[in-house]
Amino acid sequence: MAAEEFIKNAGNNLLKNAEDIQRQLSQLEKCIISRWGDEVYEDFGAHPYRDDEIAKLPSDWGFDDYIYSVYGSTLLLAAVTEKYWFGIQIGDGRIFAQSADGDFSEPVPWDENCFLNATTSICDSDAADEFRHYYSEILPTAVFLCTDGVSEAYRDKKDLCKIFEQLTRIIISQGKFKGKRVLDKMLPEISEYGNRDDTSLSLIYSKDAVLTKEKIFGRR
Amino acid sequence: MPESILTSAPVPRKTMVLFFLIDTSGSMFGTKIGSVNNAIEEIIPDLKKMSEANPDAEIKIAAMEFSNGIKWVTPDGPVSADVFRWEPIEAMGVTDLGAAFTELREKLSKSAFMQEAAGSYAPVIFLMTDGEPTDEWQKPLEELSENKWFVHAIKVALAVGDDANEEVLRKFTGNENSVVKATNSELLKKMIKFVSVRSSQVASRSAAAVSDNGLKPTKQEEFLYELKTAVEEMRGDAVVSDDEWD
Repeated sequence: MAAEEFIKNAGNNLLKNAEDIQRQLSQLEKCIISRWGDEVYEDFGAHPYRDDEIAKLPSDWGFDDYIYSVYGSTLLLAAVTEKYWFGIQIGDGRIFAQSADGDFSEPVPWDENCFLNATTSICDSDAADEFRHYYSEILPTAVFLCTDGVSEAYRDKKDLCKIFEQLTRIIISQGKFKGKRVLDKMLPEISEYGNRDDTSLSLIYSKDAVLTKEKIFGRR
Repeated sequence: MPESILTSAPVPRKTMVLFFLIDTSGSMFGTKIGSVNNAIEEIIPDLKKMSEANPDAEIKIAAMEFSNGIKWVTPDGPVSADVFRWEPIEAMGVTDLGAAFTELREKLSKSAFMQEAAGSYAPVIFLMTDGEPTDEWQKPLEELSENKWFVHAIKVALAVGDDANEEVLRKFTGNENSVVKATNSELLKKMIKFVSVRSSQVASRSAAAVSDNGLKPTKQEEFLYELKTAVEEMRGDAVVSDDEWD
């Protein structure tokens, strides 16, 4: 409901100022946490832990730790519409946006609590405060969402963005099927040569990105 | 399958830094500092081989000696195990452990000895001392304990002989199982070799990310389990030495 409300309000220009946007995005994040909690509880009811799994859990865990920590997760989310776009994140991984002039940025603020293997998670008791977000009416040509297995494989993020740029070029020039094949090869390689962490990558690009891309690639 | 697009930007190896913090006060003079020098010199080839064979990480070494103040053996920052050479150090002076903590905190920063977290594994910090700190160390340790690299590091302290203040070492490592004691030069050398090599192996290995939910052992926990077993074996194997320290 909060997501629908946010998208409707933003689309209808009902978000009047930064405070409004902030409030609505925070509401959306709380809604995500709540719905996630409901789903976890339901899944736990349908698939209770086996005795050998329970034996691995710390003995000092309370009821909430017991259920929710096991399902703990980071979350990266982005939506791009014709009028605006936003990104939401909790935990590590990164969201990169490419602007019309071809530059890459990381618009969602980084959380210094995510360091090496430590990360915030949607299962944290203060998860609502740990979410970060970004909203803009300046549309990106492409948005890349990746888990830390991808984003932290490269010390220099310019190298990572170079890969993203190539991937976009393949998808635009050779189609999604070819792009998927490249991705299917690329992610296991990053996992093997990188930190062997989970490697996931999602990409949003607009039809206008094709023209922009041709312009950018054409001048190289 | 299509050609990999990673050829234009290969995934680099990560870096893991092994820090030695070595007490070079006057009480370390003689067989103690001699054993430290011998042990470190002997493990360099092992670390070099390990670094060369490790697809996940390059191992680098940073070494600091502390007595009347501190001095870095590697003043320009961590040195790759491939090219690291150990020059024997000498013992003389007091035990400025607080100064060592302050200096370590300053260097555990990406603007100093560390790189971006993205390209690094948590370091190993190995402290060796045989006595009581002679300067103010509590406040420097408190400040060091707030450093994120330090928090995530594998920390081990080696008490050289019976006079080391093990309570200080426990506070440094945050875990009593991370403090080991060597009472003669044979044990000292064995322990330095085991801690340096094995902790570097554990610390430089890829591991899936874990949240702090206790479901999987951390690298520190994994190493401590091995350390406990190894120390018991070393003590069991140790013959009575004629250079047993008081």
